[in-house]
Amino acid sequence: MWKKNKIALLLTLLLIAAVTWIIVKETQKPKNGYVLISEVYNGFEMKKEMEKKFLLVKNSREKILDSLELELKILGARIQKENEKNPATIAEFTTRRDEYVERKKTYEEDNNALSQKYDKEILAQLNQYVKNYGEENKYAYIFGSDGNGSLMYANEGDNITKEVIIYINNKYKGE
Amino acid sequence: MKKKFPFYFLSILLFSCSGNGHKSDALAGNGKLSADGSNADLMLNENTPVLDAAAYVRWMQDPENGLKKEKKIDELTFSVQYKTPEYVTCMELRGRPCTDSVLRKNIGELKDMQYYDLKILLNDGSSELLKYKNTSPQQYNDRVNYFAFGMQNDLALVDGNDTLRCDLYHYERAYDVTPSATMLLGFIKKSNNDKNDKTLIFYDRTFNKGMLKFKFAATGLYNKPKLKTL
Repeated sequence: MWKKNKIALLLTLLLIAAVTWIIVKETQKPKNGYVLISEVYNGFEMKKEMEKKFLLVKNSREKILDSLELELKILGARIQKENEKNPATIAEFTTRRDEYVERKKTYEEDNNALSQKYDKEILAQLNQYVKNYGEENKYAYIFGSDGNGSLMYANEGDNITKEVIIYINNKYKGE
Repeated sequence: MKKKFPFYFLSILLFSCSGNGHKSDALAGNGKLSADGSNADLMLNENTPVLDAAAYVRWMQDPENGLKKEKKIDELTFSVQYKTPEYVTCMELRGRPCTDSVLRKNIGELKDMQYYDLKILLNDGSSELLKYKNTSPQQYNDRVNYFAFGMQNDLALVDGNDTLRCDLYHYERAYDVTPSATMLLGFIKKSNNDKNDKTLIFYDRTFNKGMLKFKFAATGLYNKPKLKTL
């Protein structure tokens, strides 16, 4: 009787050990996941904030350009309407037109530079937080899908876009 | 008797579970703030640990306790240390024991402001922080000027519903000694300010990391230990 029990006990222990080993192996297995890059980028709070900031600057520059353009149009209309040959008015028109063209060019360059600067800042933090997510959750790889064919197929169950967005936004908020 | 055993066992189990429930609620309550703070006060006074200077500093500098926040972005680590008057006192005393009179004097002097240290560290420690990816002597000078004067305008503290500007700012220049820069920051203190979440916002213009936020939850701020004095 005792011998039978002993064998049963031994078998049970072996079974427990095997199950534990399988569970440990499974949990330690590096995971893979993928994110939809555009969704992560657009869902990132920092991107939304910087976009607002950028639009604020861009719009105020456009307002200045609009005012200059209006002044130019009025001046041009005056020259045409009155058939004015006053060299002073023509000189003023030329100066203002040059100023408008110069400013427009400068603002366009500044807008591009600002947009690139903000993009660089956003990507620096975004990449770091995704890396942190991967490390904390023991991912071997997190792939980025942007629809250009770099990731042709992935199981929907490995889509971690939502989790990553929540994580990176909490990180950005400093929590 | 045998038939009644499961009933007794179940009763004891249920009773012990409900007892534990109360206990854990009470412990959890320690971390929560009531609307007026009175209940939290009561819990805090009962359970607040009292630490000596070295242990107090260690506790404050442990990111697990929520009063030191760190963000590693690429090659740089940005960290913010919230500083209580007790912490400032300990750092000033540099390991010497703290007397009650010194602590009271310091609390009196520091009570109108809230203090933070912002530290930017170059992770690989290869050079002086301001020389990192520096392209010209002029850029280095611009960085020194910005760190000494301009950065103050790129700092703000969101304290509850208020956004506070940085009123006190001091840049501790380390030259080539350490690959880091430390800025001492002071913001005006609103009443009951330990009951609000606080977020320190820093816009990094120098290294292109952008807007960095460091949030200090009210629970962490409120459940600080006490400093043991002589």
